[in-house]
Amino acid sequence: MAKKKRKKIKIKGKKKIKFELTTLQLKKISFFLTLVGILIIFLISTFLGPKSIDGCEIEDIREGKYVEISGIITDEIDLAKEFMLFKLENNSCEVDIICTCVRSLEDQHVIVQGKIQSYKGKKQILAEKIENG
Amino acid sequence: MVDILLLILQILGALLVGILFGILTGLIPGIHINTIAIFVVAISIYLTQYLDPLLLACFIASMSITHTFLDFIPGIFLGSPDEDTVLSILPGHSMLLEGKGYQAVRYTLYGSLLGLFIVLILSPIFIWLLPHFYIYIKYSIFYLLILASLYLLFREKNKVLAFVVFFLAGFIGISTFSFHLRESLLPMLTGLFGSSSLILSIMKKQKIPKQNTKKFKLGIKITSWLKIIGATTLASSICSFLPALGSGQAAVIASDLTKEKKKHEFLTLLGSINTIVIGLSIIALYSLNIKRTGSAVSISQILPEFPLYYIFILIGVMFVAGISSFFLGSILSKFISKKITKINYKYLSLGVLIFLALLVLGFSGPFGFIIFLVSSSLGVYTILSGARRTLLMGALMIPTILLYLPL
Repeated sequence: MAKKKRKKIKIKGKKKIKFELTTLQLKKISFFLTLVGILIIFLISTFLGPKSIDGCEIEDIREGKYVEISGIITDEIDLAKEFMLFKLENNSCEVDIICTCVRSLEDQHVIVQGKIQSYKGKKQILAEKIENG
Repeated sequence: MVDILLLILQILGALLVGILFGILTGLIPGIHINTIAIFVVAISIYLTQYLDPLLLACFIASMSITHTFLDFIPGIFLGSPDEDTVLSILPGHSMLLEGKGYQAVRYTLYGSLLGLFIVLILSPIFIWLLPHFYIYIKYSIFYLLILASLYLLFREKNKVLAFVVFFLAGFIGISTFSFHLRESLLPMLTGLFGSSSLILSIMKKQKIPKQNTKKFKLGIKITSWLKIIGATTLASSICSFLPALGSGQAAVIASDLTKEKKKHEFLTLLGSINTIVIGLSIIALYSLNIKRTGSAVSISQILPEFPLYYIFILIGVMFVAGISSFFLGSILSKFISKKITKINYKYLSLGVLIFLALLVLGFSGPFGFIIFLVSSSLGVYTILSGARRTLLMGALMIPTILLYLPL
């Protein structure tokens, strides 16, 4: 009897706050969050460009990082069909730029955006965008 | 002779290690084969000083095939699929709630086994015949993707909803790729397909009934087998070399071709597609030099050259790994079926969700986490609105269509 009483008091003392969402409410919330989220992602990707790097620090940057570098193209080599290697000079350091393109850029000042990759132990940039600048 | 024996032993070693890793990637939600494969590529410069690159390729092939046999297990038992097994959620989970989770996994295993034999049969066509026609296919990829997208959209009952989901997923895809994140697919696909169903299963407070692990009867008629074989062969072959079309799209096409409505036959169909797409993508890497899956990309980066006998070795490795995984999958699913009722499913789902969130944060950083949150919201909305989850593949299809846009 005493046991039963104690149990009752415990239940009475507990303040249960029920916060249950209906399917419709959850559907609306998730749709709203998706739209707001897409807007945020779009704004971040528009205003946060790739990190601008110095030619001499390329070996310290991890592989796969998307970066931007500017400089003068000192040499260009045709490696294969639509596959070129450019030598870019930035801050007296030479950086290899690999590009799946056919372009002549020698002696031009360019801005390159691309991913850092490693080839035979040396870091290089796999270009995704090359612009004259 | 000694050299050949040594090579065979080394290949067997790579195969075994591949199976072990395939078990890990298959059973742990969020750990994809691509994550391991990319890591192997990253350290291959050191590994190839001691190992033949062919062994690393064997490891990846073995791991990938094992993964396709086992990745239905978390999808069915935890409601946490990857992009290849997402369609198994509905039939698999409803069978789990009927106490037939073990049977559901067995059907996918039989499907994968069937897929393995289809890969074997199709491999000569992919090796010797397809290269002659691929040039025509290559220039029509853009139009084929548009057609596939329209097909996915117009087969939906609620077309407006289908367009909304498909294009919102596309926006997420475009934004995700513009971030240039490390492992950019991980937050997006985990959010769209994994965490969204976990969130809903936590909210539903589902209880898993006692699972029946005793009887298993295949119960598929010969005519149904023939329909499954025909449809999966056609759909998976197309999706194994077209970009942005994966197992999910192949399953939608194949299920429409067979008009398959029975749960167990649909699960068998899904199992076979998953294995065929991965198997044929590795063969297509040799014959067409196209990299359709993460496994194919990794093998292409590891192998400095790709002679014909390599592809025979890789097919052999995939076959042995597949047969072993079939038996392993049966044992593992039986074990999990017995244990699942003893675990608090809500806390298990919550644990998996936290694990996935930490994984995303660790691999892709804070921006990846934002993508994970947004993708999860869209995933939840898609499930609640009743749209097919394959529409979420717009996240891959729209950016790929834009990439192939003829200018």
